[in-house]
Amino acid sequence: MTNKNLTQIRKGETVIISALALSDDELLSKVITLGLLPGSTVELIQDKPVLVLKLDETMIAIDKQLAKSITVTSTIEGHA
Amino acid sequence: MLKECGNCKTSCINSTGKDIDHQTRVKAVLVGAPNVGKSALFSALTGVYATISNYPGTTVEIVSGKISVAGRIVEIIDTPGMYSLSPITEEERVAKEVLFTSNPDLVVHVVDSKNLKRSLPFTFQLIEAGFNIVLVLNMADEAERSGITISVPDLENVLSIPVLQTVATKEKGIAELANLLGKESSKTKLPLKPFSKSDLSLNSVEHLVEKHKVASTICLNIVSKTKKDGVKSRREQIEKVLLNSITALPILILVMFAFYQVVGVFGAQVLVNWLEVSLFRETVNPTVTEIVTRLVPWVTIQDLLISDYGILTLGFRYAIAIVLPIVGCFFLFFSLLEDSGYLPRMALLLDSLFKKIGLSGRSVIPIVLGFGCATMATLVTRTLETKRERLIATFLLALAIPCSAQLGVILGLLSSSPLLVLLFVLIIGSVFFSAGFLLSRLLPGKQPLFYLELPPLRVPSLKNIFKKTSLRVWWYLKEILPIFILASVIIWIGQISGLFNVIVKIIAHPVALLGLPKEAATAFFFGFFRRDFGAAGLYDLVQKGVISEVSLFVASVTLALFMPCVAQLSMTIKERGAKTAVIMAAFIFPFAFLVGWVTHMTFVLGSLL
Repeated sequence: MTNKNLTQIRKGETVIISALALSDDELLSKVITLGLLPGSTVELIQDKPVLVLKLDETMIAIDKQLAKSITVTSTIEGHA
Repeated sequence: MLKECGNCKTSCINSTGKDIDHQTRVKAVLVGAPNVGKSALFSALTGVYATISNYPGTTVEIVSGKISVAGRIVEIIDTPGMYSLSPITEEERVAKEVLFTSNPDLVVHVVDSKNLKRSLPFTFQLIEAGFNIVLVLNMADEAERSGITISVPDLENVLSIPVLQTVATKEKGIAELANLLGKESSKTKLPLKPFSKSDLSLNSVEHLVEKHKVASTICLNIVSKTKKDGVKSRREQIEKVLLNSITALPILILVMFAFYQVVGVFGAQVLVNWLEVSLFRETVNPTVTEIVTRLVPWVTIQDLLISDYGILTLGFRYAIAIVLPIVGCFFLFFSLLEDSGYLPRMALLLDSLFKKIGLSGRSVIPIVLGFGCATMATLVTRTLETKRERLIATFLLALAIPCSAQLGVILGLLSSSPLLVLLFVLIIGSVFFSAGFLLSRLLPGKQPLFYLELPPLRVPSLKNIFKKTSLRVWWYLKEILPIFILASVIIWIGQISGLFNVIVKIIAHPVALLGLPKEAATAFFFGFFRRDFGAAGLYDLVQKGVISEVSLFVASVTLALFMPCVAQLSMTIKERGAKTAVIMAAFIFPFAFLVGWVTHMTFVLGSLL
């Protein structure tokens, strides 16, 4: 289990968010409110021009800069 | 069973509550995240049509309606979308303010059944704040299609609040909800807890995470999912084609081309020609002129109604024959973009481009809307997150985004020369990008981050599209007709008093510097009232044959860069403050003339060489 950020995983991979490296509390609350918080499982649908994540039944687009501050761990599914 | 109260169907903007009451017994406020069908629920409940959209930011004005249930009157207030009680955007602030100042007996939290887990933390916040809550699980049909089942009785037990399932677009579960609202008595209200930003105990990140964890645990027991992937996988395939790095750009260009065909060609040329020439010039205006001449013997009054600048012959003609068809086509196409879910996808495709001008992909929505009506778009900048983004977007809307009426007329006039059209797009485009680029360098503050929830791609419902288009056109007409008529009256007074000539003479100086005939000064003067009005004035000059192609081009560029119109100026004052608006105006008008002058001089030099 290696720690990566969201920009370092492959398209189609499913990962679990392990940490949010955001110092700004307001931004942190926004991201959490979207459902992106430690423990959430997300699938990377697209990586260009911005990232598109699938979280349960929702699609969320985030830019690379924000994605860099989201640390994730690969699930077994992703390794297979 | 549901009955509307006739006199206050769509009342109450900025509801403070008390002043609009007649005999209201129960007041209910609808809250919820964007795109959960809140407005659809509102119209299903009240019969009042609020804009239903497939992206955040359309319910920027507060709408309320009344119904009577079992002899009791229930007032229902719809609010802009919000994700939590800690507001992020301006529109969320508006929603929160309505929630806390309207003193509701009941708050209806509307959520998308597919996203219960993510929505519950907001429910917890509302409960903690002391509101009386009803939880509505909307879009139950979509959840069912995705194989999601929610045990409503269990959820009611856990939360100790009433929970209902609805499909607002098909009016399912609406009667039950109305009954529930009718039963509510206003006595049981508890005092609200103040819920400000400084209130860390309720608002901190730790508490937010905690709420999400509780929500996850609850959903683990209450929500079950069976795999049902048939429809979804096709949607995902379309999604991939739309966003794929190879196909995305051609599709985007194709969409823009279709946009141009609908608005610039069909609206601005085919429809305008038919309405303007066949209907007004040949039929309506001669008839009206004859009737007025017969009925009103006074020449001065005749001038007010039927002269070159008359209310009937000019005001109505501009509004109905030139502006309306173009704006109508624009709103039709925009509604299609919205309801299909393509608009937020456009936002993500253009994000990196917009980052260069200090905006994020989120701003794509107000900017694109600005091509329809800059006034409406300025209002929608509320959906942007930082003051900096709102300022940049407002400025660019005021400077370099020609509205559909104006753009339609200009493109129609220049259509005989594709080269000039291209040059026009190039000049306005470079002004847009260089102004944005400079502004993003000059203004303090951080570059925005982009994140946006993408609503599912949907096949738009024709009924919804037409309703929405007509609602927007109606809003537009309500805004513009009085201004067109007022402009006619002001010009009439100006002509009688001689003031008009003085002003036109003053404007004629900078206009002459641009190499334009003095008649163009009149069009520019109109341009101060409304940009499209000015463009319509140009249309008349071409019809009369008093303006050369190059002059027309110079005038078009200058007018396109003017501040859009009186309505947009007043909206800018309202949203950004008078000081900012005045600074913007003080820059924009001289700058528009400067660019016009440079364009003119380039042509002059070009012809000398």
